[in-house]
Amino acid sequence: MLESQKPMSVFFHTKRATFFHALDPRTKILAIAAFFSIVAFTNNLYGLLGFLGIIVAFFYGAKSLENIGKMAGLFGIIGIMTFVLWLIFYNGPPGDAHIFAAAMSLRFIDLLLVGLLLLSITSLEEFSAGLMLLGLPYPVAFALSLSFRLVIVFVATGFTIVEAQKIRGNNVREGSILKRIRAYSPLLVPLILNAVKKAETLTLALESKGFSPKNKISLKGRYKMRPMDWIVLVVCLGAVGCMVMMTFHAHKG
Amino acid sequence: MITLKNLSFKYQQDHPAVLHNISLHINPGEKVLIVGKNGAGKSTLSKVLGGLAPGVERGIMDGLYFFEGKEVRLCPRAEIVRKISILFQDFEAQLVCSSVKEEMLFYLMNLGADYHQAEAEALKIARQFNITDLLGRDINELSGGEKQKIALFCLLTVNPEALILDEPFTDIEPDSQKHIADFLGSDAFGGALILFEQSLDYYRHFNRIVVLHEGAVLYDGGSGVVCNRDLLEKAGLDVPGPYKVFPSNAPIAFSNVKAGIGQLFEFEDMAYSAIVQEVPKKSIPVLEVKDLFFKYKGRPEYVLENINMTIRQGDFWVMLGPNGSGKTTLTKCIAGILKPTNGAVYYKGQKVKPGDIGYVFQNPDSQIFAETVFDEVAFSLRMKGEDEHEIRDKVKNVLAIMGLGEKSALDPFTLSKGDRQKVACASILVAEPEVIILDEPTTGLDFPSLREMMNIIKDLNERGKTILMITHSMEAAASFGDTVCAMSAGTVLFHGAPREFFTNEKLLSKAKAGRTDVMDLSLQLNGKLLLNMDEFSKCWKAKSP
Repeated sequence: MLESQKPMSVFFHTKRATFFHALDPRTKILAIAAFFSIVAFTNNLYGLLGFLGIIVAFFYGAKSLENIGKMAGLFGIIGIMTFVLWLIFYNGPPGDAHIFAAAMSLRFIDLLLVGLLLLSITSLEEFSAGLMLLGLPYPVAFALSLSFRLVIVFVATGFTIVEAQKIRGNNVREGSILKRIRAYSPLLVPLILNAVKKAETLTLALESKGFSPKNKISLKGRYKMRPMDWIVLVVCLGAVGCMVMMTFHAHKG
Repeated sequence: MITLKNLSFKYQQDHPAVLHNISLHINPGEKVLIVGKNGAGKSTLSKVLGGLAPGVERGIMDGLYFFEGKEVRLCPRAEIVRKISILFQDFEAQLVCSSVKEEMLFYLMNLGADYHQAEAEALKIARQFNITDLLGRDINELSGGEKQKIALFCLLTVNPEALILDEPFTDIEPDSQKHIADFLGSDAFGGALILFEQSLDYYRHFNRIVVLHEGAVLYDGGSGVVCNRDLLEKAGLDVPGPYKVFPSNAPIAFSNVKAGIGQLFEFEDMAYSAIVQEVPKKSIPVLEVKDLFFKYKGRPEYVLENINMTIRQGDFWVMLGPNGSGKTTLTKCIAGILKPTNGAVYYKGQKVKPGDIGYVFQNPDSQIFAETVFDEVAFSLRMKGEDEHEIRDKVKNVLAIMGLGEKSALDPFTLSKGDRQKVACASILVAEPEVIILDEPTTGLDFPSLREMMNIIKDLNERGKTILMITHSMEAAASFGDTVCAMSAGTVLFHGAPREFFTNEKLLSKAKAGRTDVMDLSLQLNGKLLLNMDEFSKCWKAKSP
């Protein structure tokens, strides 16, 4: 039997009234970019563990811990795969291999969690607006937001198609791997046809609503950087600065 | 304002023309209903009028199209979209944002309005049509009808000079249909309205009706055409409810229908008593829904609450209710597609499993994939590993029932929507389910296809199948259902006899349902409710000369 879930549950924005959700989209994007930089500069296992703790605390503060739950399985597999691969291909001192592999695995998971945090606290439109306010041209920002919207549509269509096939005895969640792969083939035709149809009508839909790449969209007055946004940005900038300094000193040492 | 001169259109050079030599003149603020069956050229004409074809949509046009004196193909696109708004038949394709609020702002902001202007306009429209609660939601959380409303209301934010709507009410509940049609048909909406429809259901909002047939204008004139049976029959259209009463072309205005019937017909009390005293058939329960609650994973609110019902073998239930009331979710729980959060559904005393019950989805294209109609219908039997000879016999039988016998070797994607709907239905029927659920099986079908589809469903019911049908068509509910199940906000308001439902004003209002013209007419005549034309013609007999 299918889980009681809707296609929407594969998307992560949690509509909650929290400090994190209330930040300006520019702040969210820049802060997340800062977090990415910090993780990218860190090789230390304990540092990465500490960062993991901070990110989980942020999820807690953003009342979005359920999103970690949703992705725990996938992230766990990615973590294990990364650990194993680094164990195999590590070419440093032999005794350090497992520590290094664990750090690399943790770094990957930290990066994924940072991305997930952004998706949890930012709606697609906020993300698009944030990019525009940071200087990205409107057509590019809109295209990015539209591509997410289309993913939602395709996933929703996919769910309906799976339901329709299941009623006819074609269950993609039962049987051997080979049987499951075969069960997927009847799903592909309607899915592809729906996608083609959607692509065909998209231009018409956009034109019918006045969209043009030459349009200038005014976001004036919609978003405002508040003192808290500036504080968050200064803290993030400070953290990145510290990390760069520490890395520089570590290499020098 | 709009002038078409000898306009013809085809999609490709070597294809036949879809529109032939159309000439129309539409004045500012005029309300025009353009009707025709599937393939009459309505959607193409709507795109031409919307300035999208030829241009954004490829095609070859002969003749001229002027808007406010300017030839449209020479006008910049930006100028056209400011003045002409168009709603597509496939309204879902027209939704391009992920949240309702953004969607409501998108059009106006692309025309250059700043955020605050666009937001104020969107709020105004949302308040006017009582959809402010939808503004905070994501598009993919909405029901089909709610999406159709949003797609339509987005266009109103720009206050267009001409509003073109291609079948805008297919998924919207009757109460809202009326509210929207009343507004658009009145002077409160100052722009011209061009409504494309497959039926004459909304004729009373228009004093000009254009009938399209095979890409050409068959009639352009006043609403008197609703009495012209011969012309409507030629165009594949149904005569609107009250006019079905009269035997032939009766040039009679709606306001005079009541008087006309009074003069020509007399009421037979005996026939009425027989109808209302009809004893419902008793049979064994086939489905039981017990204390059912349902919520989607990760969502706090229940979509269905405390549902209890018993459905008996051979019953014909029609599920009614406002958009987003939980009809589809409930039927998916009943079919075992969704697992209830609490409570259970029992099919013949056992917990229901997927496959126990047949389920025909609203959009046939969600399930069609095979290369031929035969293979599509045979799929579920092959999945069960049945013998090919048996499969051939069963498929042949079902295709004959559905009237698809001649089309078994055809590619299902080349068929009309009506036929694709029949293929989807046949592919469920072939597994011989005792209970069949149909989710709005007549949406988007023209009158001939609709009549054919409903006759097939009725025939299945008469063969002993238990039917649950979701519909927004009050006519279908009153003509075919023996039980109405009315829902609102995730609860069942009522399940019982249609006559009881349609006489209960409070229920009708809560379920955002309404009476058909025939029902209203029967009540106006003598206060006795007749549900459909069949009952009407049994009770109102022509006076002997």
